[in-house]
Amino acid sequence: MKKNMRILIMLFTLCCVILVSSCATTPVSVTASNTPLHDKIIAENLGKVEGKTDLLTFQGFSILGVWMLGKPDIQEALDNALAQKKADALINIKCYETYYYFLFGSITQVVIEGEAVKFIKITSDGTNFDSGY
Amino acid sequence: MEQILTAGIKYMRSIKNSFIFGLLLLCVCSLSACLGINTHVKGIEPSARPLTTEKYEVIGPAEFKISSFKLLWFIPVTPGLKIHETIDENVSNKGGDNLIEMQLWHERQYWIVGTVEIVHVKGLVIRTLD
Repeated sequence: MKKNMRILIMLFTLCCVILVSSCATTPVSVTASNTPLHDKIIAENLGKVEGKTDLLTFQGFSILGVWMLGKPDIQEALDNALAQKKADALINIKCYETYYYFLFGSITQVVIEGEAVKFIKITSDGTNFDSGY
Repeated sequence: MEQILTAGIKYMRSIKNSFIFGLLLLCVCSLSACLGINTHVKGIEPSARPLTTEKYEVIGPAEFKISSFKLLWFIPVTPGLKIHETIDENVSNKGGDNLIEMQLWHERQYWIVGTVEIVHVKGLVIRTLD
């Protein structure tokens, strides 16, 4: 009887934790690229990629959802997106934040979506083009 | 009569001490009690200002912040967030004339006496070559 009661309490606690956990997404910005493109030539569009910050680094962790420690790392999300296709840059970028709320805090995750591109590398004399991949 | 006077003086002293203690506590709370900090990503931009030339050299990374304070959460005490002016100032201090691969954050700190708004800017300082 006692054991059943204990299991019931544990299940109730688990249900409470799940019920008070939630997430929300907010759009942040839309931009043409992450780096100036007017002096570069796009060699190849590698397709859509998505990069996120790692939740386990606790970069955007907020105690009780009120005191945030550090700030969400944009560069990490950007690097993760670029690493997926070993791209040079991203174009047509959409950036948004996802908030995960838990019982004792919340975590902010930065998500960057875009199209990965490779540039043609320009040689030092500026006339001959050399494919960079 | 003397006893009443002594008691009255004691009472006044205790009130004075309580008042001083309260004032000190308020000062400490005002200075230290941060009610909340929230930082949000505000965006990624290829450059702070339009690039006028194709040729430029990268001077190096730069990171700086701009802040403003509002007393009692709504009375502006310091000038507003002049982002472009601050970027120009910091970029020229590094010997550059533009900022590329810009990342922006907006931080808001809630204090008992008011709010502090901070914009964090990170990017690469460049100098255009003619």
